[in-house]
Amino acid sequence: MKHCEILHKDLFAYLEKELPPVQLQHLDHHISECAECNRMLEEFRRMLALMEEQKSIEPRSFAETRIMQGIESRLEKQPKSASAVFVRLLQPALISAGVAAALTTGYFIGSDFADTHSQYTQNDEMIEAVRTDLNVPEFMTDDLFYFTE
Amino acid sequence: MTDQELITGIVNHDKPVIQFLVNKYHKQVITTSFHFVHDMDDAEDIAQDVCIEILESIGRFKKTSSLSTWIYRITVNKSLNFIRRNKRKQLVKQFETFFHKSNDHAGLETYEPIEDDNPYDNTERKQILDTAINSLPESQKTAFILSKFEELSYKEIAEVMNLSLASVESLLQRAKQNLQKRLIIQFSEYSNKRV
Repeated sequence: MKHCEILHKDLFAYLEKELPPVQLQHLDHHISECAECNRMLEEFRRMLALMEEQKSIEPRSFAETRIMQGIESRLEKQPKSASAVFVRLLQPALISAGVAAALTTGYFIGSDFADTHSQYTQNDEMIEAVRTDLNVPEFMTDDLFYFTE
Repeated sequence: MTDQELITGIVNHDKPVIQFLVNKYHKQVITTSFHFVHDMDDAEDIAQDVCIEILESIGRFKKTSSLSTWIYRITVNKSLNFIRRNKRKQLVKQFETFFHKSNDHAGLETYEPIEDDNPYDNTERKQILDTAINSLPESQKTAFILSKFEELSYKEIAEVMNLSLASVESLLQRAKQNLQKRLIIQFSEYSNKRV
């Protein structure tokens, strides 16, 4: 393998001095004589220097505030989304349950009232029958109506 | 504040603790994602996603590694997902940059002679470097960025990537080989174009 190819294969290793000393010496000698390899090596050195510069990159001054705002708006949305679930699911369910309870209560009150009413009617008819049979004047049975109520 | 205190505070959505978390880790997250996406706005967006992910999934943190390592893992995943999602968008952007650059070069070449000892300026050099790093397979790119830019040890990289030490060594070796191959090709093509 030609020295140029060896260097191209191990450019990073050469620059980071990770090659065995003997190989480093051979390549040093080659580079001193080969303009093309010298140029390539110089370009790689600059590339590594650029990578070093990239290490010290800093976030922008407002980055922390921006991130914090994003988090806060997300946290604010969480209870809102819970209330949205309430509005969409629980509220209609509660309203339906309320209406059902009102209807059931109404039904029972209504049926109870009907029973009482029919009982009153039966009492009235009984008194009226007795009054007619005994030929009792109507004003005398008024109190009976009063007591049956 | 210890990691455990930090975790408890995050679980309780304690605002001063969250503020402390952001203050402590935002630089790490932004610079790491920046090395993946090469754009500060995108890196900040990713950092925001990372912090929200931390808040939402802190319960799944198993404490087998440090909090910092876990945050690196989330950052790497978010950055790689961002790149995958934006691959098409970036392709269009690269085309635009390429044509823009080509026009710029056409203009510059008529005024500025090529200096043999310094054929590129740092903007061009950075673009070449970014393109070469971007073209690496995901795992090699991740190992390379964490090692070269974030200066993590092999052990830390192994924890972040959930790999063995030997795998990390091999990935880094292949990343360097591939990177220098791509850089040599790009230098040669660019030199030929400009000469």
